[in-house]
Amino acid sequence: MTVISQQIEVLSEGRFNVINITDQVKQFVNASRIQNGQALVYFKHTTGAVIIGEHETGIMADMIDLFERITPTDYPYKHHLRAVDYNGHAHLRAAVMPTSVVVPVVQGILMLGTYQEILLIDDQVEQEPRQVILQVMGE
Amino acid sequence: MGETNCLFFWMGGLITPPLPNLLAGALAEMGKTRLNPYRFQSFQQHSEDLILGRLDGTAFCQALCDWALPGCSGVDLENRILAQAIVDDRILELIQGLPVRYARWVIVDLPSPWFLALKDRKKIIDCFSDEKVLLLSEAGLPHVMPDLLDTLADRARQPMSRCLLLAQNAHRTIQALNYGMPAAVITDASRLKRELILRNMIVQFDPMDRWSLSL
Repeated sequence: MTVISQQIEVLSEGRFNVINITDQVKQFVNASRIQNGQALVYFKHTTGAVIIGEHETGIMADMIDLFERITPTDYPYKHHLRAVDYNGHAHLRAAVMPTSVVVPVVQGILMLGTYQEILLIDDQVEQEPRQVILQVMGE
Repeated sequence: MGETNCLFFWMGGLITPPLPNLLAGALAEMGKTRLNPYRFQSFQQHSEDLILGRLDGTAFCQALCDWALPGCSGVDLENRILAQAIVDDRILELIQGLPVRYARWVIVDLPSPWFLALKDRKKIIDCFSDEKVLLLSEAGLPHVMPDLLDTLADRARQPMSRCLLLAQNAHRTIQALNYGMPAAVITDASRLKRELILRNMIVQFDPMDRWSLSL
């Protein structure tokens, strides 16, 4: 079995920025020449997530509404008592979303459905470079 | 939600690469590979000032050079940015193929001299008549969002619900939707085509089409 990994840096504006990285993952899988196996996409931070979903504006707006109801951006989180940063909402949202996704690779193709996209959600309050690990394993 | 009459295409990110990518590419050519322009603390404010015409392209590039490449010329960076601004022909092809009942506008988020200097500018002009090119730098807006949305509906003489904003920047499309203007995030031509088909704006699947199968 072969395992190939790559770290990519994603330009992000933060503040629940939803970035479609499907094409980058497809390119990575294609370049690996692995025909059958799995591709892992892993977000290396504590204030965001990787999900599989439809990259549609209404869904993103609804997700933001949902998270604003359960983890409002403006709230006195205990995390803020440390006075290092003020992103308690982002940590809580990240805790209930996946940090990684795994997608099967069959005959060299990433097995995503018609509307399935690999979406990076970056909820950091500052604009920071975001690191994502791509790993494909198989043969 | 009523029938869509008017489509607004955001240039940066849809027709040309988005400004942060243009900058990252130009800076990489000048030796600053892997430099994320968002690390430039004032990037957001500078880019909003640039888009709205409060800062000219050369001054913007000089500010970036002073931060990232001390001693380098802002003019050199500016020229490299322009060279990176390649028009996506497949997007323009789709826009040209839209039925005439849809009014088509382009929102230009580059300074006016940059837009005039784009070597592929004619291709854009061929898609959008002169009066339907909205230069943000000349629109006199205090902020991009949500001020732009009222301007768009006014200029198009359409209720906001009859407009559709298509842009690569997810934040902007979400802001538009929350403000009452339908919007869709679009990252490339294949996805634009899919969105237009879903909205019944162009005809369904053509088996001979050379790139409809790419998704």
